[in-house]
Amino acid sequence: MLDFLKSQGVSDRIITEIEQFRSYYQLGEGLESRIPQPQYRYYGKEVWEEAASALLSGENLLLVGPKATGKNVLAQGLSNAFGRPEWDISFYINTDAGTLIGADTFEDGRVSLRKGPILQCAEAGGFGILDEINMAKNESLAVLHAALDFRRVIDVPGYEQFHLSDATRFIATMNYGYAGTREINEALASRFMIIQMPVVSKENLEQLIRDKFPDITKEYAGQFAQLFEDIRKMCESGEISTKALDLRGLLAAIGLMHNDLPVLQALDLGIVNKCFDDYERQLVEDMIHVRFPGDLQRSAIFAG
Amino acid sequence: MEITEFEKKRAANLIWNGAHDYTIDTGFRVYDFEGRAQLYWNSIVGAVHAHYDWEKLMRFYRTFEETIGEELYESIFWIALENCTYEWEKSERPVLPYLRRQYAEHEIAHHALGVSDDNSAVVRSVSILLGHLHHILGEPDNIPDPVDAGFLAAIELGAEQDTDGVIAALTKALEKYTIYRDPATHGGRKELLPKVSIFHLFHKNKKANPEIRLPVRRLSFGYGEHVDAYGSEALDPEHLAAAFAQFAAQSDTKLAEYITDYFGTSIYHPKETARLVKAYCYGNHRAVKLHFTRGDYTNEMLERGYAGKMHRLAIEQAKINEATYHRAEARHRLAVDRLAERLRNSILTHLDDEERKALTGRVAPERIWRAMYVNDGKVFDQTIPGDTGGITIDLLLDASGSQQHRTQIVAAQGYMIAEALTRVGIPCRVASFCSLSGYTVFNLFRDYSENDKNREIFRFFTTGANRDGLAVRIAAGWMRENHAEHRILIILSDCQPNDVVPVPAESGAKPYAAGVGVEDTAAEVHAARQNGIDVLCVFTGEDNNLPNVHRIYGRDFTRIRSLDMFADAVGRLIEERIRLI
Repeated sequence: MLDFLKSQGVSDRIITEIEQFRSYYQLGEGLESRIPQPQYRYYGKEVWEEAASALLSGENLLLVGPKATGKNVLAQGLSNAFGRPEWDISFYINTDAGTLIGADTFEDGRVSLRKGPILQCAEAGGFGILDEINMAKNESLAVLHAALDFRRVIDVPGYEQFHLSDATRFIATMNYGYAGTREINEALASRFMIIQMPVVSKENLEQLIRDKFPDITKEYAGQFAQLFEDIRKMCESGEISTKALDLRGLLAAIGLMHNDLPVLQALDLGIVNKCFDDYERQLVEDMIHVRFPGDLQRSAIFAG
Repeated sequence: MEITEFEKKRAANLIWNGAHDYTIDTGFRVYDFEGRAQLYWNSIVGAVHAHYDWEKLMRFYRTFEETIGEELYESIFWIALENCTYEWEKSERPVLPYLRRQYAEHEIAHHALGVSDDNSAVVRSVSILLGHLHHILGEPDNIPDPVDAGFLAAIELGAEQDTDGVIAALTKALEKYTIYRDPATHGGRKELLPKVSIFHLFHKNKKANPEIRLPVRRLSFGYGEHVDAYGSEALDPEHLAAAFAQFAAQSDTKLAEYITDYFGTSIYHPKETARLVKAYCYGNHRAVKLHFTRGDYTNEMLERGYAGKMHRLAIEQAKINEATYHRAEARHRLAVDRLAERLRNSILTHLDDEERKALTGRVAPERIWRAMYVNDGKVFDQTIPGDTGGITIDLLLDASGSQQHRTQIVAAQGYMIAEALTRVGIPCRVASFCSLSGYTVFNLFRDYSENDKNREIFRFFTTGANRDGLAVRIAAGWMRENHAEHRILIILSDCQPNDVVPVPAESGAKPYAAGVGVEDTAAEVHAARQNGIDVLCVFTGEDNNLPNVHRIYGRDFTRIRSLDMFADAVGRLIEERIRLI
């Protein structure tokens, strides 16, 4: 990953500091498997530098951006680059202190604390990914306040106070304005350094596709990236919902083409059928039909 | 040829996509002979926006209007643009050669059925188009007339030309092979010959509705539509002028003043209102204007003519409404208590936290023995929170003239609903809508946080018509701005949408009433639901309107015979919704 960061042009000083961080904070036993091995890479030198600098300074991160901007890809990439075990915690409307910190359980004839993911992450010096943090109610997140600010402690009622390992960081993600989400309050926002995630550029998307499918032709890597741009623009202008704006779906569809499924069928499976509304489906199909010929052969897309 | 709104939307999306810009006015859309959006052509039109100066091209295009060879010039113009834009785009979009070939094959097959038209311009344009299509397929053009073959060669332009170059080349070709003359260099004359051909005069008069030059017209390659929807400017101002003919007696400013005097000052700055008109008044509602008010007024407004008189009547009506409520205040208070209690119970039952035995959670000492002796680990209590997020309710009251005899009851019942919702802490917004003189007017009584403004609902006043589709579209637009988990829109309506501003259509404007109004409202209700808004109706109409309510709201309505039951019905609808959460 550090080589990748170098190739992205991330400053040498930051990379050196990441290396120092890795060698200084040793990994606990049995935690190696928790270090994520990202399937995709996040492209964008500025965002990498901002995020890495914040984490090196001991800050927590909040990644804000619409769908398909690579929030989780970046979060995974950061855990990997820093060589830290990762805990993924998806937030939802009923997320409460028990879900995050832990709750009582009964073991060997006595009540004991069954540690939640936040507590485990805090103790092991891991990176906690707080996914879609604004899906939860602000009041249930209040239990995290002391963990996220300079105090770096978690006080569990009835048990002792847990101190966060120096290596622990939290990376939250949120999609502002997404249906059902809430405004994040100031108290919580002030505990994060906030990165507004830029929309993935066409060039970076093309690069991502070529990384994943090295034998794809340059021309069609560009066309797939452009198709994604077309759909994004259609979403941004409010013509369709964001259901079809699915980067994972697009990459999976290219994978199906690689396995010889005709291009239009593969895109139906990966993208078009994500729209359950006939009207939306037709508009997305149109976008595909003005990008890819119906008789397109696998040999035109992949060189191998 | 009837072209559905959906096909229009498809065409617009293809053009925006081709132009890589969703903010432009689409200007010109193309449909095939079955009325479906043409994939290839609309992509090319979009690309024309991207590569050329559209305004300049359209200025040139407008010089064809009202000329004898109009059909021919238009077709030639688009064939030339298709050719040069294709040359630009083919490297950027590898699919284009495929689409173009398909289009050419399909079109040649269509024209093989024969061209039957007594207009020589049409016959000539089809012959040139066919030659062009054969060129696309890499075949000789097969044009019988060598002059036309030369004409085609002159207009198949390459990508090297800029906008001025295209216009110059086209002007040159048109002047050489037709009687067209560039008005800029010929003292305003558009053609070489005056309109002396009796045949053409007869033909033009016969074919056209002289007042309205319809936006959708048949061209050699399909149907072309000049569009003023989605906020774009009309190329044929006569068409819009006709739609507004009924208001022509008054200028826009005068009409706006009239509406303001009638209903009260706008809550928005004119610029914001203009933005909202652009955002909401498209498609079936493109000729409609909007006015949003809270009924605020000055004394001068009340003195100004008929509008002032009507506003004074509205103020009087508000007093009557409030007095009527107070005459039976005890009964009304009781009804509010009952409604609030019902809602509270419903919330407590369905949205309250639930306690469960669980393997983790808060220890329940009285059950510890079970773990020791019967190996039951569930010695904890766990709270399952029942609150699944916020609820907001928007109440939209039909304030058209048809509700006139019910004004006091609707006002009282609306007030009671708002009061009950306030007591149980559900944010609610109440507004009424009606349509008058081309305006759809929203009267906002209280917003979500304005718990002290329930009395404003007594301002409920009825007049004019009701453009339900637009009202639903705007209410849903407002609601999309709130982030509550469950957004419920309740509409009090007799499901008889009608308004004086007609729906623009190719075959002449259609009145916004009966089937057209119902279909439009149904489409808007569907769109609101797509956006996660629960749309419910309290139906006050007669038996013969039942099919309308079914068509618009499906099963999500409740019928009330007497408006005394309005608050009860709304309470029931909200209860049902809470149960489903």
